[in-house]
Amino acid sequence: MKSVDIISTLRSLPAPEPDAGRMRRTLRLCRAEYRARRPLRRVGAWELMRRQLRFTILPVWALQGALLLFICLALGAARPAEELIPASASLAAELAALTALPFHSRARRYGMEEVEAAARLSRAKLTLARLGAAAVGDAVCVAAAALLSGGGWYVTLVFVATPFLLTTAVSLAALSRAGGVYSAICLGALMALGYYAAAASWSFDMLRISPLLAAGICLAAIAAIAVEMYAEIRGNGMEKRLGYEY
Amino acid sequence: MRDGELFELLEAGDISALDELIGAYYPEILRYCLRHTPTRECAEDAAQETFLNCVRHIEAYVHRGHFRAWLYKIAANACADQFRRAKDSAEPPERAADEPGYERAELKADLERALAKLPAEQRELLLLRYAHELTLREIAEIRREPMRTVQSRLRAALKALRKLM
Repeated sequence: MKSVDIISTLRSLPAPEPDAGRMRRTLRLCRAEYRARRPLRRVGAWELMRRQLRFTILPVWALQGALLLFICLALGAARPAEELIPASASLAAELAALTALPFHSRARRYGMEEVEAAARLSRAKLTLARLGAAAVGDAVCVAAAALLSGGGWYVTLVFVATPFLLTTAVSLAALSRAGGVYSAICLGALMALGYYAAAASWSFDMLRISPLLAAGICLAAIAAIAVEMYAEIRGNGMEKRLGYEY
Repeated sequence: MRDGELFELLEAGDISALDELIGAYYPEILRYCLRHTPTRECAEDAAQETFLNCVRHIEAYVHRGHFRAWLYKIAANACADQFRRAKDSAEPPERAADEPGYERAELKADLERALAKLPAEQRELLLLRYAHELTLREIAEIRREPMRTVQSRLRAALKALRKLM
């Protein structure tokens, strides 16, 4: 027998007529079920992010508050010895960059990433809310370090903005590539220590760097941070991590 | 009216769109259930459960043009539940698909016999594709398999059925 005949016979298999009474009963039950359901309310992007903040803000801001206190004390103590101020300011900025890391990718660390991904919440918005909460605290810490260092815009650029951006870029890159928060913290801390040592030993030489070069480094770091954050928000590589893609 | 338009009407509060949606799919879902449950009563229960589940979760379903596949997925689960329940009861099963006059058509009877001999997976594929006229994409979605896999398995199933006839 030819396949064509089989297919046409399969297509002509009898389709029994539905019982009209039973169909009416199904329709009636479905209508009742539809009316009785509790309609879901669509939550907008901002509302979702605002609601997420209460779960995120407390631990991140507590750590950043403690850091802020440390920045005030350290830079206040360094004020009499002016040569210590650039190194202290850069250390404060670098620590600010590292504060968000312990709270980053917690779902991944505790093996709950799949559960989080399966929830009907937008992963992108969740990540954005978390990053936003950490960024607000970071901005306050960096602003405090810049103000308390008492230098001009160039001192702020070289000893606050550059170390902050470089440490953030390195730690985020390590987070996505080295595959763990601990390795990201270690690499970020190494970067921070290196910059701190350079600021402590060659602060005057560092101030002679061309402003264009410093601005270029900052811009490159910002671009690298943007790329890493975009990848994080999009959830790149999640399928592979969860074993759905080889 | 197309599913998308019916969903829009339903969202706007027009409950008659729900009737139309259910009315459009009830016969084919019942037909599917008849093949996957031991009795006609079980099949009707499974079809009813399918639509009730569909209504319960209709807000979670985002309409992307895969409503049919989604409905069949619910129907498959409802049939599995019904089958389990029927298996637990002591009553002897009666084939739902054995409609009067079936044996009269020799070819159809041969086909039914051959289908019964096929492994359940191959039988399901053939019925979904040719008796229910689902697209390969819809079957792939129901079975959560790549479309190519469905295509090759369907070809193998057809070959196996041809050998049996």
